[in-house]
Amino acid sequence: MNRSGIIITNNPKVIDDKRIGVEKLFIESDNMLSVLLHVRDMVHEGHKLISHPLSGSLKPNENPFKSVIVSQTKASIDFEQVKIIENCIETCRKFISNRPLPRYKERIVNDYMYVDKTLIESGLRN
Amino acid sequence: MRLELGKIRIADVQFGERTEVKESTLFVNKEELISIVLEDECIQAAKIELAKPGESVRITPVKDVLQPRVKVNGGGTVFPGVIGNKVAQVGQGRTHVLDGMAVLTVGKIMGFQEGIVDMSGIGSEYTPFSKTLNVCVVLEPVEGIEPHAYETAAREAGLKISNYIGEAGRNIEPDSIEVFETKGFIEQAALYPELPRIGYVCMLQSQGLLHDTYVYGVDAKNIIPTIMKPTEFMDGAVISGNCVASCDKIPTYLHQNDPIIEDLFKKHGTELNFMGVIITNENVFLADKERCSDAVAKLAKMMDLDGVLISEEGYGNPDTDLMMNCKKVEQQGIKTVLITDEFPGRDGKSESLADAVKEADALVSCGQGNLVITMPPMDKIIGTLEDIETMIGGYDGSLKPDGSIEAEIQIIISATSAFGCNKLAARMY
Amino acid sequence: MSKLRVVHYINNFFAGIGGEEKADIPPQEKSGAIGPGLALNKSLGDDGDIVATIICGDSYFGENFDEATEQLLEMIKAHKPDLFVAGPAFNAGRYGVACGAIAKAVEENLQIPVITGMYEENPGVDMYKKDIHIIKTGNSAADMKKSVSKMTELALKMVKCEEILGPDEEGYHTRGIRVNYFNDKRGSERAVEMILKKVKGAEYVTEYPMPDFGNVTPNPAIKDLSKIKVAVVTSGGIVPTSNPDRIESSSATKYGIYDITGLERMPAEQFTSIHGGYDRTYALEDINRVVPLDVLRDMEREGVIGSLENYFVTTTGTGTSVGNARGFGEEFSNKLLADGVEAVILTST
Repeated sequence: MNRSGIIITNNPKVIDDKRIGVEKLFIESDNMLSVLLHVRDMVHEGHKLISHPLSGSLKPNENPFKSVIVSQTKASIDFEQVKIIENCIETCRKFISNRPLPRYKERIVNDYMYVDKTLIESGLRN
Repeated sequence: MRLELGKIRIADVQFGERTEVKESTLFVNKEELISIVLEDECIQAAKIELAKPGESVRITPVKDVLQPRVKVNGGGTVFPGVIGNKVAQVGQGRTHVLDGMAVLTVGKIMGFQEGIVDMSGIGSEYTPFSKTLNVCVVLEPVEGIEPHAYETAAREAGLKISNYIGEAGRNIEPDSIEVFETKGFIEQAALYPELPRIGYVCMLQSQGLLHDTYVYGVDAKNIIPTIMKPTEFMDGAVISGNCVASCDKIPTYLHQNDPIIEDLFKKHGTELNFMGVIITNENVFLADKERCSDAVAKLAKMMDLDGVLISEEGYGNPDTDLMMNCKKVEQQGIKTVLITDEFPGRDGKSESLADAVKEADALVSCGQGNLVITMPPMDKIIGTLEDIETMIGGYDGSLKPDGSIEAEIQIIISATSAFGCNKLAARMY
Repeated sequence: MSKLRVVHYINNFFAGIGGEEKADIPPQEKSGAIGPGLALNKSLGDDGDIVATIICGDSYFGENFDEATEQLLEMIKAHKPDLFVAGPAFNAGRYGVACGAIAKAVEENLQIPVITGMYEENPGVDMYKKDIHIIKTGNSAADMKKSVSKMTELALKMVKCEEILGPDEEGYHTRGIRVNYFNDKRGSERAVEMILKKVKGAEYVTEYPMPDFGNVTPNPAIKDLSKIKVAVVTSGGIVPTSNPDRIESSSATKYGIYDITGLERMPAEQFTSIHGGYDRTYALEDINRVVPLDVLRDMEREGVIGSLENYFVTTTGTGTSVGNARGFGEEFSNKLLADGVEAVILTST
């Protein structure tokens, strides 16, 4: 099945991987909230969520990276989707306010980047 | 489908000359086990260690927990589709279980993954695996190995070892035999016409690396919802490739010993008619979620169920699937009870679930994973403490100089698993 | 345990200073117990003594939230209390909010046990239940004796560091805090029992209540906006400059209906915002930011909407109880319907 879309991500590994052939938008940020906020703005503009913004069991105050796929085309705003992304933002804020993201050593940062990339990739491959 | 589950009580585990069961003691030959593990080129070295309930032992990082079983007759092998490519359907005939012990695979795949099993102290109160006699397989991958390959190697090592040890139970007379049977739907419904028809919707983690589950060897990401007999689980048809968020992990052991299946069978024929299990997944794509939840509701209706129990694995993304399944099944006129764990933050004050629908008015809580506890130091570590602080539930300063660990109970294997295997619950204050 | 030093907070009314006309008095104190403090002292018995009573007017507090909290905190600190008691506020909204706010501040700053009491509809409950324990009271001072007694009981437990049990046992409003415990039965067993009850139609109790989704189903969408009369309703606290109906700046007990006939936009000289819950700077610069009359007049001219009603409805949203808000809506929607209004634009802040 053809999965076209735009990946919104703060994960350099996703941006750098040429095998991921869809359009990418890089958000420079060390935490996933910025990515989710950008995704929310795009949902308000009419883009559709293709992947769930909170995929993966790694919590927002542990995992710095997030890649979300939205549709390339815009249509009329879908309020169910607005609800989904707003819930995700609220959840993300809740976790980060409870305990902020730690400063990880490079090895761990790489591991998180890696898992985020595989989550998005494995879906695209299907 | 009728399965006789013969439980061989294991009261102790020791190293020995041969891998065998003698008078309720399991003996394992260390070298044999190590050579099986090292058949895989991805693994550079392996150690086998034993851990028993009550000992001052900490096992970490744990990848999976499995229970050795062996198919004595009835067709197929335990763990179909993953060991030796034997894919025949399972769930009938006779299977022997080495009851009271478990195999744990230990080894670091990702710096942040799970998890801890303490065999004594306060940490032991939260995990079911402090009560089993554990054969721990500590793995060391070759340098520079790609994480996917290592995860596969670790998963296969656990399955092979469990299988091998399980063989020791083949010719032993079990201490008890339980019979589990469900017939074809029409016959089953006719058997207890007065009793409510109850089904179990089992949601399988399926999001990607370290987030996968396999059904007859098929990656659950690729399935569409289907119906299974409860006894298929008892023969290892569903195995875990999951390795994040220790507290709500469903290790292979819990798929084999699914407490929901056990408790439904306990009342089967007396208070309810256990019709079967619907499995579905928790994919990342919203379109998949819609498709699968529609299919779950359709299957539940086709089975003419009066009620279902729905469990999930994981948090966040899966909560959306859980709510979708609940809503659509309820809309078919079928009652639901959801089983889940919660993450309301350290102070317990935030919303516990990432999603909610008003149809979810019957929920069983397996506890909240954000509670912070301090686990005392242990005399022996199986594995390594190296990454405790980046493990999920841990943080800077978690590992104290004296070896004690202050962390969220998220860090403990299966502390809040949404199969409801524990007595831990949460209430509103 | 030596006798506890207790500081008690009450409002203008309970201090016997005056009713609504005295709701604007600034913070002040008296030594010893006054008014309901006497009942509180009696309840404390030998365990504690009210060393000072701190008083503030409900409106003063509502309109000077931060400064008042700071002032009161300083006054309370000076008495070195072991325990702080506020109210009980029963159903008085502004009083309840003040009690909650001050109790929270005292707990955070002085780290001593704090307790208050309110009726379930008091907006202070929802706002502060997670921060402090709020004893359930009746809806009027007729419940004083019972309320004070329950408050004292729980307060003493807190002081003695005894385990605080659940809301039903201790008599406080459910706080919404999730607490782990070990049940007798495992989760799967409880789930099987629950589904059997649910399927039989028997009563069951969920272990995690879903958030309140409200019970208002939206009406169907308007087919043709250009044919209908629209009205503006706001909870942004926009009123004529003199606030003739004395709508409160928080925990409103009334709403107002004000004329906008012939106005092309909301003039800052004629209207103001009295809402205590947001920074009013931008609203005061341009009232149209809260009641968008300018845009609506444009839409009227352009035929986007059929017409705009020549009045708007207003109240203050912050701290206003759900019960009151529902009551206002039920009342003024009758007038709107009678006047031929078919759709309403709700502006909130």
